[in-house]
Parts: sequence; C-alpha cells; structure tokens
Amino acid sequence: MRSAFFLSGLILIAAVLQAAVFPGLLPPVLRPDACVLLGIAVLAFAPRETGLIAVFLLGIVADLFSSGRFGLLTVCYMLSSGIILWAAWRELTRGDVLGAWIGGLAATILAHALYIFIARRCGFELPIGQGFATTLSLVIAGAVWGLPLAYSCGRVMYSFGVVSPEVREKWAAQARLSAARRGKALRV
Amino acid sequence: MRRPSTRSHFLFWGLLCAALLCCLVPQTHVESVRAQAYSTLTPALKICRVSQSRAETVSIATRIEQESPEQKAEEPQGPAPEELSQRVDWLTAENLRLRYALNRARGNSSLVNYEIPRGISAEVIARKTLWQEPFFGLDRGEADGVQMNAGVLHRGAVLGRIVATAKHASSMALLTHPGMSITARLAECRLEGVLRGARDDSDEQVCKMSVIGKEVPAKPGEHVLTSGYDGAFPPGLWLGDVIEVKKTGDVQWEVIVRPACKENLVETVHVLTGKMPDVPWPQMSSGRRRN
Repeated sequence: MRSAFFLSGLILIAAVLQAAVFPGLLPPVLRPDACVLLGIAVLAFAPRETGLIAVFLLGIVADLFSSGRFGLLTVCYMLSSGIILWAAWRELTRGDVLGAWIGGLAATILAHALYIFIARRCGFELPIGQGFATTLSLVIAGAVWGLPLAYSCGRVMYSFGVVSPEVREKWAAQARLSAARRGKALRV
Repeated sequence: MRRPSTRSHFLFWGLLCAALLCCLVPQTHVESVRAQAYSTLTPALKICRVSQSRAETVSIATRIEQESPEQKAEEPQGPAPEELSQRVDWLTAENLRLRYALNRARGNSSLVNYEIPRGISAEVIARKTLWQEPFFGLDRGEADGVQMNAGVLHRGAVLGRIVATAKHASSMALLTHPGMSITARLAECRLEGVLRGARDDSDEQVCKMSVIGKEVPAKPGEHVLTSGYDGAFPPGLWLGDVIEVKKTGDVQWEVIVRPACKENLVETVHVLTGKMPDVPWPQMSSGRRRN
C-alpha cells in the first residue's frame, strides 16, 4: 500500500519534471531523462520488485512525453535495468547514492543507445549522428542532475519507508553513527 | 545482499512482455492520452512556459516602449505577457491584411490568401522532447471550442493540425510530422499535389510535395499554398517555400518545401474553428519504412 502510494506520487513528479520543468526551465544540453534516473534510483534503494515496477511505470511516462513510438522507450528501460541488475546488482543495491548515480548514467546510455538501435531496425527515420548527440547531451545532463535526483529520491523513500531492509539498516546505522558523533562533539 | 529471486525474474520478464505489448497500442489512442495528460498538467506547464518565454516577451515589451512613449503614458502598468503576444499576433494579421489590400490595389493577381480565417488564440505549453515526432501541446481544448482536425496557423501561415483534444488542452502535429498530409498548390505554376512531412538528405525536417505532371516549372523560393480540397484549411494559405524539385518517375515529381513557420519561435497560435472534415490521421503508420 505504501509502495503504491509512493509510486503514484513518483509518477506524477516524473511527468511534471519530464514534460514541464526540465524542457521549460533548462537549456537543451542540461535536460536529463528524469524518468530513467528516478527509475534506477528506486531500483537501487527499494526492494527489487518495487524497483522493476517503478522502472516500467516511469518508462510508460517517458513514452508518453518523449518517444516516437509508444512502448519502445519502456522496452529499452526494462532491458537496460535488466542489464545493469545482471552486471552490477551488488554495487547498485548497496544503498550508496553514488552507485545509484552511476547506475542512472549507465542506464541513460544503454536505454537511449538501445532506442536508437531498435528504432532504426524498425524503420524509423532516426539519424544516427543526431541520435548519439542527443544521447550525449542526456548523459551530460544526467551527470549534473543524477546525483541530486538520486539523493532526494532516496530521502523521500526513506521517509516513506519503502526502502529495502538492507538499505534501511545501513542508513539507520549511518544516522545513529552521525548522531553519536554530533553528541560527542557537543560534549567536548 | 540477496541474489535476485525467481519472483523477480518472473516479474522482469512479465513487465518486458507488457512493454512489448504497449508497442501495439494505436498511435491515435496514445495521442488522446497525451492530450489528457497535458490537460491535467496545464497549470505546471503554463508556469514553466511563462518563465521560458519571459526573455522574449521582455524584449518585445522593450521594443514597444521604445517605439511609442505616448502609449506608455496611457498605460501606466505594462500589458501582461499574454496580452503582448496576442497583440503581436494581431499586428501580424493586420500586416497580412494590409499587404493583401495593397496587392489588390496594385492589380497583382497573387493567389495568396491574406485574410485570417475565424478561430481562437492558443498558447504553446509543450514542445517536442527527446525522440518525439514534431508535436505541440496547446492550452485550449474542447471546452474552448477546439475541434479534432482543426487547422492551426501562426502569423497567417499554416503550422499544422489538431490531432487530439482534451477538455482544457489539445495536441497538434506540425507540418513536418511524417503523418501529416495537406493538399497544396504551387503559387506560380499552379500545379497541385499532396504535402507531407519528411526529412531531406541532410536530416533537416522539411515537407515533400508529390506532384504528377509532364513538367514542373517550379523554382526555388516559389510559395506553396493550401489548395483547400481537404477542407481542413481555406485555399490560399501560405505553407512554405520551394527548396528543390526532383523527378522521381516518368510523370512523378517531388518538391522539397521548407515550412513557413520556424517551430522554435512559435509561442502563440491561431486555431481555426467551424465545421471540420474527417481527415485521416496519421496518414501513414508511425512505424514507417525508409524509402
């Protein structure tokens, strides 16, 4: 129930970011693919089932606002998240924000390279040079926005209580440690 | 950390199959869902659009103030951005009307229709992002009188057509969209054909007009106008200019046309109202084959 509530809020936020905020307020080279960055952040911090459902739903949102053919970007998101989970599930699900950030960048490259490949195979008129220029700009934007998005997504998930037990345990231990350090510093 | 469980594997493959099934959803349904989404997100889209167009609006406002200081005295508080952009549209329409009158007075037999048909003004709230085809989201919908297949003009020239409507927003396809098809006429040699969105050899988005004839004496720079046969637009509206003419068969010609409107500069559009015909959309499926 809590996950469903969190996912519906996440979809709304992703839709607003993808359709309104980033295209409206940022120059083209700094407009990231917010859906894939958020999807990988959820996959990194939440239980795997919740993460996969989030990637699928965010793929649908991205398809609605940014794709030439509905469904194609969702397929690419699912494939890229599958590849990342297969190749680096341990590093990704360690509860590390840096891991989620790098995972988001890798997913951006994979998903959009797959999109270009599949779209061209399906006969879409997608110039390869322009496609890779777009992917490069998405990677640059992802490098800029990926870390804040992954961090804020993780904080929101932690406050909602939808993070995986391992991540919750790790973050709670970190919070206890930093509180103890602060207390020690105050006593000194 | 746990290894991926069998349940996760099943879920992954199930969702992948669902994503593949999504590819089979007809594009017309997707566009109506997109229009509904624009309608729901209209407040957020408008806020972001205002901040985007502020720089341009400020430059227009500065120009108007410099040109007419007495007008500034009459209006102590500057006009709102929406009012300014509407004023720009109105002035452009007036300019076209006056050019038409001048043309008539000089006795020129130009076929260009400078009269702006009846319609409503709408603002562009969403543009093409990432891999999308050339689409615009407009802030007017069924509640404001926007109809499916209605023609959309910008400063008197054809910009595209409405392809999906929701209550408070609508989605329009630009002339360069591969699914667009408009009956057109070359202004000087008066040949007629069908104009479609396409890409040229240098991957620039242009339109291609298919013409059948023994000879096509069109020259680069010649105006292309609506012929009015499809019923979506009145005849004589400016579509674009000829860039190149190619022979593709014995009596088949392809005229490459640059659209009259630069899509990046469009902020406000004019949506035609009145009875609209049933125009097939999209003309080709989106998963089209390359030539």
